[in-house]
Amino acid sequence: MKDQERDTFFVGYLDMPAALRRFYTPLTILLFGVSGLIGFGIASMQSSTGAASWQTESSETLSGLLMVDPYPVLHRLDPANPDQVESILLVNQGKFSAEAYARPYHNRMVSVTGFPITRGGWTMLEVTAADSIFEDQSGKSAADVEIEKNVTAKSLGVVTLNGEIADSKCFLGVMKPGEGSVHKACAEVCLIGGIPSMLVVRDGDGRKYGYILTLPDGSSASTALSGRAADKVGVTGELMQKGDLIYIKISPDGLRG
Amino acid sequence: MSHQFVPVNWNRRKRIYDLCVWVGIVAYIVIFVSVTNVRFQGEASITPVIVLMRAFATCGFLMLTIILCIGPLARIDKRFLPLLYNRRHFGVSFFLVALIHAGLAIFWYHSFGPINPIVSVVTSGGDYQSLSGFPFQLFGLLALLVFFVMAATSHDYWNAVLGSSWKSLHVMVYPGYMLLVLHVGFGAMQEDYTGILPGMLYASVILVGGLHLYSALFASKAQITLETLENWVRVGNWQDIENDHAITVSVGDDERVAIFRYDHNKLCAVSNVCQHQNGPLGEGRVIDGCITCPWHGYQYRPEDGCSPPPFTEKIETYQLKLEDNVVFLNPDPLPAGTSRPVTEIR
Repeated sequence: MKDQERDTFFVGYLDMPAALRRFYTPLTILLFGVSGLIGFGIASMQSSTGAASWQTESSETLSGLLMVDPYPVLHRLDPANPDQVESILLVNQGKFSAEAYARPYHNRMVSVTGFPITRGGWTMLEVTAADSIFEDQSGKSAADVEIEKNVTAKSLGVVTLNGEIADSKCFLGVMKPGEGSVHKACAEVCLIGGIPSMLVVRDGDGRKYGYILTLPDGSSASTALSGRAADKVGVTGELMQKGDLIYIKISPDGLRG
Repeated sequence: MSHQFVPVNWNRRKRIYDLCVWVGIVAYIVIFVSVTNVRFQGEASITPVIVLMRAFATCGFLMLTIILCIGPLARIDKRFLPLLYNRRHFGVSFFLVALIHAGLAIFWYHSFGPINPIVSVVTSGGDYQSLSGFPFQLFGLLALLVFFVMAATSHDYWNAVLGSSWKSLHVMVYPGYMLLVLHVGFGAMQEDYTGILPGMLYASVILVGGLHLYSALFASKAQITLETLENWVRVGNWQDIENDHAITVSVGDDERVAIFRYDHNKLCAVSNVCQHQNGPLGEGRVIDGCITCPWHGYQYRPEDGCSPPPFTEKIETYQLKLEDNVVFLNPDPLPAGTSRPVTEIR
């Protein structure tokens, strides 16, 4: 059959008919254009995760009072405001708690080396090895006494708050976004690994507030809440402050939703 | 055609096709990542692995939507047949894109913890008792398994080994697509407050479903109703068949016959089903004296339904007779590759 008779009939191992070439040139450009526009549209309409960072290139060494109560926290005087205590959650690498590293130093003055994770006024330190924590041998200073005075737990009353159960490490900046149903499985694994559990509450303007969660006896709620990761819940419990961290000690039957 | 199997069956057309597909994939990923990085900078940046995960996810979904539109488009307008010609390479490319997305998700969300990542994919992230909380990862994993089986058996070798089961196996693309729709619907769509992901999902379902429905109606209109006279069925006037073309008639519940006119004055009837991938031979042409499948160019001789040497495919043939310019068909098929007298128009 002659080529002109083949009009638009395509056979892969023969030359493409001219009519088909004329059809495919604009079609290919159109397909590329539409696909590019879809990619552009979806990418540009993603939601913001807010400002947060995970500093993985250079570590920092911070000194203060280490407490495991129930989660490992380093309390120190805030360098920007020495009248106040800054409380820094400690976590391990990956999706694990730093409790095993921190427990031997409970209630002692230590220096801790790790990678800072920050969101808003929060700072977390990712500790990578047991020898990243070492005891300060210089004795108790006036500053240390000031810290100890400020880390006593204070009750702020019973509250009910609605929010999402998250793992604090991802939420504070390791993953952006580190919340929501797509992140649910990750949060679940993190909580099983002992990362401090957190209730993330949004106000009417979309600002987010984090509250560390504990069980009614004050112990870690992470494993118990792992099955509820990323769930939207209402939490009733006693609001507690230790250093500058705010906790909710969940009341028995204090979890709804 | 079938005389040898090579790992990847490429020719110039397929190379151009594959090049377009992969240029498209790379361009899409680059656009997605660049736009994200320009829009969200510094401390507001989205985690790079998550950006890539989203880029490959949306790219894969777009690819599958296009792949599923090719079949009905080719039935509605023959100019789309070249897209169908190398659709299997498009499908394998889609699987690789989906695999990268799945690999990133398993690496980032399920690894580095106290649970085996694969166990975590199956056991975590949802409530099996709740419809709204059903874990979307499971839908994605099942879809990936379906697409893996399809990609792994996409080669002509498996087509030849599995025979008619191959087509049934590859119809699994539709359950795979539905699983993917559920994966997006129960997953990323739940977190999308902009409306763009639901919009993309609904547009895809409407486009794929609408095109399939329309092409089914389009095909049913093209059916020819046959009048049976004794053991022969009346097909129609031979002048209604364009030279080197065919008309297709149904003679049973699932049986279709292609009746070709070639060399201007010769008629032959063969099965409408190509032995390669069940392509519709009746939509093909006679090229260089052979019936040529519109999908991949497989060829058969009109006189006996055999592929020309060295190829070995055979299709069933049928007997025709001509009375007063009217073509009659014997609906009982002859064994594949059976020669019968050529019906000549005098």
